[in-house]
Amino acid sequence: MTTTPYLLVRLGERLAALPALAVRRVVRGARLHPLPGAGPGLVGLAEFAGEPLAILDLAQLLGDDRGSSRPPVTVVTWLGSGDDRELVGLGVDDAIAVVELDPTALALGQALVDGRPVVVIDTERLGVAA
Amino acid sequence: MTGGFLIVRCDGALWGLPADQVALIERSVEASGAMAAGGASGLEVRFADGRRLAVDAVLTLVGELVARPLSPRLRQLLPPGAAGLAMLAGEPLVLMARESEVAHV
Repeated sequence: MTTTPYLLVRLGERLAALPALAVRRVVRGARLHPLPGAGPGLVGLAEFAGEPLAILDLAQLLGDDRGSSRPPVTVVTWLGSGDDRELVGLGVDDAIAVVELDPTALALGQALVDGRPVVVIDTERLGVAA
Repeated sequence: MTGGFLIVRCDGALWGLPADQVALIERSVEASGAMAAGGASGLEVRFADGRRLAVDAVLTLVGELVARPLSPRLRQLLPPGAAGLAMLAGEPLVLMARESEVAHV
């Protein structure tokens, strides 16, 4: 069976998987410009390749409350699809490894990696209100 | 002011304000005293439509910025009144919506 590569990231105590083909770069300690008044989930703005980049807190987008702590690692990722595709930074606690997952994992939204549950992120829908 | 963007720092973040909608920049007398005691700048930008914005500093006036419009995804997360993102001297900034766009943001 064909598998799909995912970047395994840590969000506090839990793990999440981002489609590796949507990931542009992983940056540790990106220079962040906080944006007071922004909604929960937006950590701030940064510069990437000469363009403004919104940095989103992946844990908060998934419904976790991480308080005021700032995720130390930024995964620059394409979200959306077609004309709506845009580059954003996803703040995570760590980028761990690239793993191969069964294609059904995306539809299920979850998978097991080494016996641990992993949230499988749909980057085409992440952050879009239902 | 005509055309371009007035660049201000507001709560530490850069904002680009549509310059042709800025009517007045003022420092309040009360704030001058607070400033001497280490308080806020007391600078306030007043818009032609009556809106007011307290700012930390007025930095510069730029004629053009390459604006990146906000997607629905980002629009729901950025502060009210934000219309787009841009870069200035290597620092990202938020563009404030023009008065005619405010109702839609």
